[in-house]
Order: sequence, then C-alpha cells, then structure tokens
Amino acid sequence: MHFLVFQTLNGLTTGALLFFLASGLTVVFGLMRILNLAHGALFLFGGFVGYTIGERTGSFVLAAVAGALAAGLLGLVIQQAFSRTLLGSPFNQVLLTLGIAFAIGNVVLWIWGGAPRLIRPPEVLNGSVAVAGVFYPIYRLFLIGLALLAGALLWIFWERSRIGAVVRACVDDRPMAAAMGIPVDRVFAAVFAVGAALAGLTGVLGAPVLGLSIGLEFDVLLLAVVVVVVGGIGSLTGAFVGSMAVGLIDAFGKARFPEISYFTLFAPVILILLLRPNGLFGRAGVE
Amino acid sequence: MARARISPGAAVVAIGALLAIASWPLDAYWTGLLTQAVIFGGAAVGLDILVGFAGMASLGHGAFFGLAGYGLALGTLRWGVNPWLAAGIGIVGSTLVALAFAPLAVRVRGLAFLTVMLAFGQVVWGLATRGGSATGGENGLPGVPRPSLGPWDLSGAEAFYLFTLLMAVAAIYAVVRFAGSAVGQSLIGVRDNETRMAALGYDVRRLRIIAFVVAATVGAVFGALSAAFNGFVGPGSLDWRLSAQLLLSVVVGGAGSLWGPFVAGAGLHMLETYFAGTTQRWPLVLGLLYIVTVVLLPGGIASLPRLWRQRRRSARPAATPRSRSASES
Amino acid sequence: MSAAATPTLEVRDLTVGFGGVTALDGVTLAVRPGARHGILGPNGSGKTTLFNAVTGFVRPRAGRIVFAGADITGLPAHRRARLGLARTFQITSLFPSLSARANVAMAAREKLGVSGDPWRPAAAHAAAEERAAGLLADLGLRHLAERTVGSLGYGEQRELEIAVALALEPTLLLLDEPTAGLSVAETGALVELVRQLPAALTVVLIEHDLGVVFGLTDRLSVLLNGVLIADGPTAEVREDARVKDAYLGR
Repeated sequence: MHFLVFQTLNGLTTGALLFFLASGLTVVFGLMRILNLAHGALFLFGGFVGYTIGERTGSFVLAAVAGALAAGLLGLVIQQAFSRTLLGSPFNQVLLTLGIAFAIGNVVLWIWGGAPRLIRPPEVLNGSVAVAGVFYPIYRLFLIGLALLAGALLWIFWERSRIGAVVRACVDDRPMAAAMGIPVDRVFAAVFAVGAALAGLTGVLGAPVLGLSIGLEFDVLLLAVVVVVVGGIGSLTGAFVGSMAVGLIDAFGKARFPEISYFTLFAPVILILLLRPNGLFGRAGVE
Repeated sequence: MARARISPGAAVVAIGALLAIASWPLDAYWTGLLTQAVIFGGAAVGLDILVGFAGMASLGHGAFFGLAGYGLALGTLRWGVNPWLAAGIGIVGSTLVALAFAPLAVRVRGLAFLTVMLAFGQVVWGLATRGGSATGGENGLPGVPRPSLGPWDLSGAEAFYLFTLLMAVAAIYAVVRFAGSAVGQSLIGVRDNETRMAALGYDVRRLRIIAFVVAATVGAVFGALSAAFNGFVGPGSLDWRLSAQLLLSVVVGGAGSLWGPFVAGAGLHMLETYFAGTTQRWPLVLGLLYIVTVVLLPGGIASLPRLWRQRRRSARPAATPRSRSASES
Repeated sequence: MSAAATPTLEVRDLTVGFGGVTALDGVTLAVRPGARHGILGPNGSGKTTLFNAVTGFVRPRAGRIVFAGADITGLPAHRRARLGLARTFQITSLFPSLSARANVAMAAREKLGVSGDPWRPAAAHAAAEERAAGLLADLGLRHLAERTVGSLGYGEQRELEIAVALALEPTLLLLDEPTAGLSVAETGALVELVRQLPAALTVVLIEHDLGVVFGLTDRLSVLLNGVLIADGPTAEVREDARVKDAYLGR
C-alpha cells in the first residue's frame, strides 16, 4: 500500500513537470507544425538562470520569474531570427532546432560549468507531510497541485478566452484565420515565446527535484516529445493525460522492473501510436 | 539533375580506390579516424534509402547499427564462434529484427513514425544497458576481436582500414544500384505520392517495408564493422544520439543524393574527433554548423554543385547576352 | 455475345459514410463495356466518393462492387489497379520530382511486372521505356518527356495524368473532372484526347462542364446528395425533369 501511494505520488510529480514542458511544446507544434527540439535546452537555460538569480536574491519566486523570462526572451529571438526556416521543411526544422539545442547546451556549460546544481525549494514548502501513511516532500505535492491548477487555467484560457479562441482558430485553419484578419505572425511569435517561457519556468520548478545538469535537456526532451505525440499533437488535454500516464508508467516501471524500465516506458508508446497514429486526443490529418 | 555521364557504380569504386591510395602513407591515428569516418558515412548512405527515397525520417536507426555490433560481440565473446560467423549472426539478426518490426512501424507516417522509431531505439537501448552480464550493461562488451581474411591479418590499423574501404565500396555500390533500380524509383514514387502509387498497382506498404529493411541491413553491416574496428560495443553504439547523428548526416548531406550523406556522415565524424580533442566547444560548433547549413544551404551539401553551376551560369550572360540558359530560368 | 452481357463495372446498393454523414446512399449502376459514361451532380453529391469506393480508397459501409464479373469489394486499391482499373484524380496526382517519361514508365513497369527489380537501372527496362515513350507520342506529349513534372503547366499535367493511367493498359478508366481548372483551349485539347481513346476502353467521367459531358458521353448517371436520381442514355437524361430541377436548371 505504501509502495503504491509513494510511487503514485512520484509518478504524478514527474507527470506535473512533464505537463509544464509538454503543454508549450504541443501548442507550438499544433499551431505552427514546428517540432521544437530546442525545448529541452530552453528548459535547462531557464533553470540555470533561475539558479543564479535564486543564489543572488534568495527568492525562489524571483528565480522562477527570471527563468521564465530569460527562456521566453531567448525563444522569441529564435523565432524572430529563424521564422522562415521554422515554417519550412520538417527536415530542416529538425536540423535547425537540434542545432540550436546543441549550441544552447554548450553555452550553458560554458557559463555555468559542468557541476550539477540544485535549487532549494522555498522555505514554506520545505519538509514533508504524511499522505495516506507516507511521508512525502511538500514541494512535490505543491508541484502536483500547481500542475492541476495550471492545467485548469490553461484549459479555461484555451477554451473560454478570446485569445484562446484566436489561437485555436490559427491551429485549425491558418489561411482562414489570416483571411479573418487575425495577425497570424504575431500570434505565432507570442505562442512560441510563451512556450519557451513555460519551458524555462519548468527548468526552475523542476530543479529542486531533478537538479540541473548538462544532458538533462535531452532526457526531458525525449519524454516531452513522447508525451506530445502520444497525447495528440496540439491537444492540451492530450498533453495532460499523456504527461500523467508517462510519469506514472515511468515511476512504477522503474520501481517494479528496474531492469526493463525503458521497455515498460517505451513499449506502450509504440503500441499506442500503432493503434492511434494521431495520438490519444489528436485529430486526423495532423502530421 | 546531374544525369551522370559516368556510371554511379564506377564513381563509388573510383572514390574507394582514391581513398585507399591517398591514405597509404598515413599514420595509425589518421587511418583509424578515416576508418570510423567511412563507417559512419556508409551507415548514413544506407539510411538515405529510408529518409531520402522513401521519405520516412527515423530517429531510431542507431538500433540496427548497434544490434549487429552486439551480435558480433556476443558471438565472439560469449558463444565462442568464429568472428565471421558472429558478424553474420549480428547482421542477419539485426535484419530480422527490422523485418519483424517494419510491418508495425510502417503503419504510421511523419512525426508518428519518427517517434515510434525513437521509442523503438530507446527500448533496444534500455535492453542493452540493463542487460546485466549478458550485454555488459552500461560498460558494454570490450575485447571484440578482429578476424583475419584467409592469410590477410586484419588486426592492424592499415589492414582493417583497407578492409573497411572494401566493404564500404561493396555496400555503397549495392545501395547505389538499388537506388537507381526500378524499386528505388518506386520508393521515390512512394515519397512523392503514395496515393498515386497505389492507384498504379504498387503495394505501398510492401515498398515501405523494403526501404526500412534495406536501410537497416546496410546500417547493420557498418555496425558490425564499427564493433570490430573499436573492439568494443556499448550502449553508445545504439543510443538516440547516434540515431540523431545519422539522420542529421542525411539531412546535412542532402536527402536522396546518397553521396551527400556519405560526405556529411564521414565529415561530421572527422570534425567531431578534431574538435573533441582540442576544445570543449564541439557541441557549440556542431550546433552552429547545423544552423548555418539550414540557413545557407537548405538542400544540403548535395545542392552545392547545382548552386555552383547556377552561379557560373548567372555570371556568364554578361559575356553572352540572351544565352539559352538565361531564358531557361 | 455473352461477354457483352457482362458489364465492365457494376455497383450494387453502394453506401458510403464518414462518421455521421452519408456520402453515398444505396447507389446501383452498371457500366457496359466500351461505354462513355458520365457522372453528373453538384458539389458534395458523392461523385468522387463513388470513384474512391470503386478504386478502393474508401471502404463502403454496404453494397458490392463488381468489376468484369468479379467481386472486388474487399480488395485493396493496388490489387484493383492490377486488375485493369485505372483512374485520375480531381487534384492532379503525379510524381513532381520525376520527369514526365519517368512518371509514365513507373506505371508501365508495374504493369509489365518488372517493378520489383532491385538491381538493374530503372531505365534499362526497355519495354517499359518504350511504352512510356509511345504513349507520350500518341497523346502528343513527346516534347514534355524529359521535363520535370513539377515544372509543367497545369493543363500539361492533366494530360500527362491520362498518359500515366493508360500505361496500366486498363479496361476501365475513371476520369475525375479532367477539365477542371483548364482554359478553353486546354479543355478542347483534352476533350479531343479523350475522344481518341481506344473504343474498347471503358471510360467513366466526372465532369462539371455540361458541354464536355454531353459531347463525350453516351450514358449519364446523376447523383444528388448521395442518391442516384437519374440513369440512362445521355440524350434522355438531359431532358429529365428532375435532373433539370436539381442540377441543370439551378
């Protein structure tokens, strides 16, 4: 029983972080058909900026804001500098964004060095509480709660707000949206920047759990890509369900079958995609 | 379209011979570097069949490269069989895995295919790293022997380089023939227009499987060579970074041109070895290289000759105004 | 003459639906050998869906499709093509990166059974190359042979598509709006091309241009909202009151 609760909470924590990361990735993909493989590098960059600000100011909130802003700005620069290539052939997209990822990762190594870093969670969230007989870190519970809240807010924003409607219109039918007078280019830039900011924010939020180290950017990127494709490209619901599923499968797989944990994580991915090529919540025709 | 005046097969043989002659006086370091470069170049040529011809971008091709290496290592180190037989086991085994997985993988397209292959690669990688004593886990399997070919001892750097060149010429010649054959044309048809191919009576699913398996087999041949060359296989022989490197070699070289991916696959390895030895900034250089390629050379290395011809052509009309070539563009 | 009694194509009670929408509703029609059979109907009436069902690109909910006496309802598209069922598409469907000759040769190699050769150069299959060259010459497209298809004009592409379909040596040719988007001169050229097709070849044609339809076809089937509302000799159907109401009269 304790095992079950503990691993469920671990899975939900991973799922929460994945959701922050994957929601940005999936909306950018759904909107612009851009698979941004630099998303993990933006995550890492945001995390390290947050680390420095956190060390200087001692404030976790400032660290989180700085991480999000820095990654968002960098994202905006990338989008503006390469907007034509980003909308071009998928091969070149992969080449470009992976190139950017390598470059960012190495610059981060240059600036911050190779030693792994940790951001301490804010004071109020230190310590553990008992949940169904298991002592569990408060900060991780906070992450799970935050993901639920963010999911709800994003959903409301997406489905109910005017801006959400504009973005959805661009996802569904770009030429039509443009014909209706929606400034598609500006929507693209804004969404790309917000996605990048979310990645940077995740870097800071995740640092107390995952730490910050070179190479982490690709570990989280692989999982986020899996979440996006399995959940269904461009679907926030899919990103949420996919994140939690991947988090839980990962946690239980690692605990129960450590020898074949990659098998337990990726074999279901293959199965799901073969049965539903457009992902669990994806629409047909999106490739 | 460079409709070759010399046959592509002859070109492959000629380049192989040139590489052999040019490297004759080289020291062991350079010979070793060239050996590994040819291996990566060859694997990229094989992948081009899948990516450039059939239009299926895979992020899991390293698995077939590495599986053959593991087959060779397990055969020689664990089961004590002859290295040639072990290499055969590795290549055939890897091909059989591809044959078994292809019918599933080709059901999906585009990004879903990319992701399915990524997941497949991760599964294989996971099995290799967590395989305990059977696969050597994270440490891999050191001590893979190099065989001798009759009286020809292949354990020396130079001998193995020449052997690798020979194998590479044979494999790439076969790929070039295949690419220019009726089946190769059919793969272009599948890439360009799947619906039309079906309406012409082509079994598209079968063609996609063929491309998948051919690419895997070529990858396996070079994977076995790589394991014998390094005397070692480990998780790095089949992880997603290798898959990404192969895929990006195809794109940087120019998908569908065959020679471009070879140049890029071999060249990127040589650059990496050079930079990794002198600086910690290799990933930055590599990243910038990718970015510059996309921006300045979106068709890859293979588009260079065409661009060069266009430049010469556009320079000429000044001398001979209203030439035929000017009115063409 | 029992052969003449067997229609080239028979569609029986064909129903096709996508989700909640019924695109074809119990359509039954027969096309006799050598016919020039027109399919008429407003946009969204199910004409292209009928072609897609006949050629195996959509699966019907109910009904049978019989080709030259053989039930092909369950066959995949490529098997139907091999039986002699060729088609063109409403939106031109070719291989843009290959030359015109290579496009036709692609079809010819499959028909001649040499498409599985993984070794000899594709162009070394002389019979296929000859058939391609011959067809291009027959249709007056010889001057385009070495041009890359992506660089051809739209009208040229539409004509080339017919050459590609003919390389299959079909017994039944389905043309989906062959003159859509063509200029008056190009339309005239294409009509002439269809007129000169061998008399033994059965042709079914979807067409919006009434002049083209009345000039080319001897039989006409009219679809409205997925239902067949008229079927008979062209001369009779064009006078049918319901057809006039539904389509011609607007």
